[in-house]
Amino acid sequence: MKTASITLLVAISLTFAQSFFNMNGLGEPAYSATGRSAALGNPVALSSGNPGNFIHLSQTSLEMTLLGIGTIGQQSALTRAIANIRPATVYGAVPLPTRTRILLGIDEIFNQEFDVWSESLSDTLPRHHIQSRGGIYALNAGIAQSFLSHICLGLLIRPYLGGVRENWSYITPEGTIATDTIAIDYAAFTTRFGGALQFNPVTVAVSYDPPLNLNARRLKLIHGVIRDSLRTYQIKLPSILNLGAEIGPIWKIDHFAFGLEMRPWNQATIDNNRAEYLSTIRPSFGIEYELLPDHPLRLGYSMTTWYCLNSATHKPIKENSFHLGTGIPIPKFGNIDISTEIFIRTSQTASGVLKETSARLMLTLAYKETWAKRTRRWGY
Amino acid sequence: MKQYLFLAVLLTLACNTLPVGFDQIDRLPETATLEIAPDSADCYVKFVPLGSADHLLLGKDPQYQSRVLIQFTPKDSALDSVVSAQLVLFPLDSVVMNFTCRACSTEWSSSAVTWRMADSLTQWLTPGGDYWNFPLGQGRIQKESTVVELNRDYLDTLVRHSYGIALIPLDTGFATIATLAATKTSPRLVFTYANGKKRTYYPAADAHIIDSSGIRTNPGELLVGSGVAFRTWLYFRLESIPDSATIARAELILKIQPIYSRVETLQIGIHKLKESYHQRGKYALYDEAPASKTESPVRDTIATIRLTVTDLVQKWVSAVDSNPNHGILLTAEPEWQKPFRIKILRSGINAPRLKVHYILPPEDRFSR
Repeated sequence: MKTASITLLVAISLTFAQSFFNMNGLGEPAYSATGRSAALGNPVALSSGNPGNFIHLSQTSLEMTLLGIGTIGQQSALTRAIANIRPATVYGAVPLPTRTRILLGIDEIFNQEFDVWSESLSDTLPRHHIQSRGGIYALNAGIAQSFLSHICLGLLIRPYLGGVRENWSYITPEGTIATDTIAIDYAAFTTRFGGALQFNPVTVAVSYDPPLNLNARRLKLIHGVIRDSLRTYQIKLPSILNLGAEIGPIWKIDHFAFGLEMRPWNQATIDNNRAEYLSTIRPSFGIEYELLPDHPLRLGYSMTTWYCLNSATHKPIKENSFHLGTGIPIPKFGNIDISTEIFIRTSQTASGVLKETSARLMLTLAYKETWAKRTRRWGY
Repeated sequence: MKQYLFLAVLLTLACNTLPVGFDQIDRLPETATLEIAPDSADCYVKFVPLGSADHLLLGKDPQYQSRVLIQFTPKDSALDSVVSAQLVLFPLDSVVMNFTCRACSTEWSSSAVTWRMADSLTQWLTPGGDYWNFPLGQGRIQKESTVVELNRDYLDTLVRHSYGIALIPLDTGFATIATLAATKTSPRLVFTYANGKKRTYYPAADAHIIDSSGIRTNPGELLVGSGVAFRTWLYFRLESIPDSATIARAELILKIQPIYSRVETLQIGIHKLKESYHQRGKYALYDEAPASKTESPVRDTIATIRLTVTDLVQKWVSAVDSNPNHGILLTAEPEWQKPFRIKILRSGINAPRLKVHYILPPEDRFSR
């Protein structure tokens, strides 16, 4: 009990942040994931974030996902841990009698949370401690239509909302002397088109997000007082094309899942100037195997290179991720999907390779509406 | 054992503040360090009330003279039956000092009395106090307590027509006496009546007043001192620091040389001026609470002292409308300390310096 208490205390005391690379670009790109799709390598086209991925929907479904992340960063023989826990996504889908589906949801687009310290300088100079909280989120509202039990097309309206606050503290030997804050509010409006085609045992899905203009409104608060006038950035983000294929069951494997995400980030601009980002491709692969009845085992792998370069050396940030998960049925409710993922990110910096190992635990509570059958007995 | 090892590793990783990933921030704010010489400086001398001191100082030397005033309120009845009137004093050090007692002829206030002023509005007719021209008694401060037998011939004048007793030093040197605040060792007046009864009166007020008329100042020197207050005004121009800057550290560097000291430790403070010194001179108001203070042992040679004024400079830089920079006043802190005087050169390498390290605001992640 004592050990458990101390472990819990340490876990809580971990610095609340997500990635040591989140200072770059717009931060870490997030995927429209649930516990199931995360365990299969995050094929977004095959997830609930794709409005066309609802060919068969006989019951109202609601998926709520909680994400916990522990990250260890290593650089020049230095090691530091950060952690984060927060709600990740909420997806709801309601079937209508005409094979139409109403879709609602919230998911994360970028995460900008970080927590870094500068080196210990001489005692006449302060240390910097910079903490950032927040990110960019999308609210989803849309409609999908299934045709002939083989095809589904969907459209999501996706207003982007969000904000980030960076607190810049200066730590002197006497303590924290002042904090400047940079606050950025984000707003945009976009859509997502999705479609799926299913002829057993193959399902092919696609989703497309057109390019969008992100409005970033920045405030600087110096010593707690707004001293700088507003500045607004117009950020043009590229389109996102997600392809996915699911095959199964084949042999003893329930599903093979393939995903491919393509973002022409080289078209991104900030105030009509090239943002100098890299176009990215993220392939993923996953399998789902029924280890025990109703207890599937899921494995996945994906790899990508981040769209932004590391600021220190302008080298790319490479990411490999390994995924593992399962689902546990909950009688008269639905199921809980659990995924654990290991993300390994590396990038060359002047002081050696900055390596980040991020372990994610994703819990999705998936509610499936159940209609109680009422049997009426007559007589005795 | 393994679980504790795991915990130790977890703690090591979680609780450190190592600079992992810091180089990913390419928009670090600019920093700068300035060392500023005073734009203007001045020094003045002022007699300050010493009634709040934790001691009474009695003595004199070629530069200072200190007298003690103690006010009792004895009952004026049955004075004819008083067979003995004694003033009892408790010295705080072992200095031997002869002194004479006089009855004050002018009312004074312990919170405002100085060498020149009896209270905040009334000047002494004679600087150093107005006294009846007869000696009440003469005493010698020594050992643990001093008992002065007062002349009963003037008891009626003392009780009915005087405003306390003044102690005037006769020897060179300074002795300290316990004040009325010391319960067991406060000064007291003891009347012994013919029937053998004794009545003890405790002070209603006490103070000491110091003169420094023997001091000559050098225009090239700035002085800070206690007893008689020597104060130095310094004004630094800070317009070169952007108002958005965060002052990481600001310190006033003073190279001081003691020229007179009756203390072992120099206690010096900085006060923010609230009014223009150019317009109000030595009457310019200043914050009673020091913005910074420091202690330094007394040495014969030039010593460097540093006073942190980060918060003060931050207000001057970033909130200049509500905190106009009228400069600072260097004072002894508190000014009722035993007399000391230090000098600071107005110019040259030993002149005061304000060293400011500041940081400009950071850029945002999209600025280029």
